[in-house]
Order: sequence, then C-alpha cells, then structure tokens
Amino acid sequence: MRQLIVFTFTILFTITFRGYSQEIQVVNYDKLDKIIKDTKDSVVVINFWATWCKPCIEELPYFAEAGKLSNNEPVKFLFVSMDFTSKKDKAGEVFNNNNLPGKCVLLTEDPNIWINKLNPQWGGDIPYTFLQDKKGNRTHYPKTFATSEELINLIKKELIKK
Amino acid sequence: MKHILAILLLFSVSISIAQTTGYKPGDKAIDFSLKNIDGKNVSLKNYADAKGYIVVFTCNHCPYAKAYEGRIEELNKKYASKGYPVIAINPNDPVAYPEDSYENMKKNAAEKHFTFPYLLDETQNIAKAYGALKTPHVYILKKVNNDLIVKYVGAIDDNSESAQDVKKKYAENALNELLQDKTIKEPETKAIGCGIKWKK
Repeated sequence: MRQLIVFTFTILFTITFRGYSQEIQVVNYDKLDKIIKDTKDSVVVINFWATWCKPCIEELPYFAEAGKLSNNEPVKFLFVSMDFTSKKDKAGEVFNNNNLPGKCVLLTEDPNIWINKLNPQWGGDIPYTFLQDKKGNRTHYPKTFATSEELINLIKKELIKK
Repeated sequence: MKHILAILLLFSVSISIAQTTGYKPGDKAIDFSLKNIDGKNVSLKNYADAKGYIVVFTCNHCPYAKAYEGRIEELNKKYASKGYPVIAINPNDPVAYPEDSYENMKKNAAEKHFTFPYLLDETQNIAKAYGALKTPHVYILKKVNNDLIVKYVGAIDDNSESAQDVKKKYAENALNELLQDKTIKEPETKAIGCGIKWKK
C-alpha cells in the first residue's frame, strides 16, 4: 500500500512539477506562501536564489543532487528567484541548465513587507533555504551549503520526523 | 532526535549571535578611517559641519548595487547640503569578486561621476562592526554631542528594479523626519541584496 502511495505520489509529482516547460511564474509573497502551505504530506525544500548571486549558483548542484531523493521519498523542491522581473527568462534558463528538481517561481514584492512574515531574523541576504516538514513546520537555514551531503542530511532528518 | 536537538540549538545560537551583532536604531556607531578612491583616507570626523551621515555599504559587481547607484547619487545631491552627506563603502573581498577591486572602484566612480566618497573597507572590519550583510545596506547616523547615533538601518526604497515605480522612499522618509526632528516611523527596513563576500 505504502509503495502504491509513493508511486502515485511520484507520478503526480512528475506531472505537476517536471511536466512544466519551466515558464517561471511571477508571484507575490502570499501566493508563494499558499503554494508552500498547500504542498502537504511531503517535505518541501525552498531555496531563495538569483542568477546574479554567486554563492547561490555555486550551491545549485547540491540541490540537483538532493533532488534525486524525490525519486523514492516524498520531497518537493521550490526555488524562489530574487531576480528582477525583466530577468525572468534568464532565471528560467539557469534553472533548466542546472537540472534542478521541482519548480521555480519569481517573487516580486517589497522585501520589507514579506521578509518579516517569513522570518524576522533574516536580514535579506541570499542564498537562503528553509525546509517544511510534512506537518507544515518550518526550519530556516540562512546559509550557503558546503556539500550536497549537508543538504541531503537535513532533508532526511525532516523525512524521519513522525 | 539528539542530533536534531543539537542542530536546533546550534541554529538558535547562530540566530542570537546574528541578532546581537550589527547596529540597530539607537545604537552608537563607530567612526573609521578608510581609503577613498583618490588615495586619501576619509573619516566621519572630517565632516565638521555635518549633522549626520548616510553610510551606504555598496559595491561594483552587484546588480542591486548597480540599480541603486543613481539613487545613491540623488541622495547625496539632495541631503549633503542639508547636513547629511553620503559615505559609500565597498566591503567586498576582491578575490571573490574581482570587479570589486580598488582599481575598479576608481573606474566605476569616474564613469558614474560619483560626488560622494567611495571607500574601501579592506579589512572588512567596518562592515562587520556595523553588521552590514549585503549591498546596498544603508545606515543613517546622527551626530549627538560626540556620538554617532544610528537612526535608520535598511533599504533605500521599496523597488530595487525600477526607480520609477518606487512607492516608499524609506531612507528619504527617515532623513526628512530627522531633519524635522520628528520620530522616524520606520527606523528599520528589510531588503534583498547581494550578500557581502567575507574573506576566508
């Protein structure tokens, strides 16, 4: 039964996320928050990045590697581009070229409004990652990952949570 | 479970460190002596007539910093004569970002005709003392007796991409309130910027 669920989920996931011809959706914070909250029964990895952000680009391969987890585990990935709206296509290109899992949206709203809603402790420097467990609890990682293992281990910890 | 707790603990410790370092409105700021693009060192105390300062951590390479260059120049044109000159500081490690080297700072300032000093924070000590995280990152200071009091920390305005579409000029609002001796309604704002690259 469990396998069936995972299988169904994988198929749904594939259709929902992989199926997109990565046209990046432009969203405000409330929409982004809704997308994340509506992603139930799986661990969600959310990464804030931008094409101009060197450390962000450097850690993207770790996310590509961690993406392989979603072949067998309920993990979803959402990338949030901080690029200017005029650079949406470039963000899409970089996203596709890095073979990243999940999908990418572009958030365009005054950060002074949304940063405090997301995490008042965050100063707005990227990269920034947070993980949402299956129950919707979030853990924030305002940092650059040094290895793919580091990221994968964090995801695995969320996966084993009851 | 133990691991998770340890990680959570480490995480909360790192958050509290992040919170305690860096200036907040009301804090006393330190002065500095940093090399300007003309080779001479600049200190805030050199500006005897200033009422305060608009200290902006910025750099050459960052698209957000680039988008704000014109607006930083405007701030200086508008407020230097009112007693609040712009003092720009580049804290980036030029090894990580060669575009942020001292030579390129000179080039950039000449091309854009900066009318404000553009200083190199070579040791990154000033950016660390102020708690600057990204570029651009603004600190508005007011001279009170012999102290430099932080009055505003954060963004220049609410639209990095387009100066035409700005609705809230956070830094200007704070400056206008300061000049009128009013309470600053929003003394702290948040913005996305390019993280400062620290030396290894």
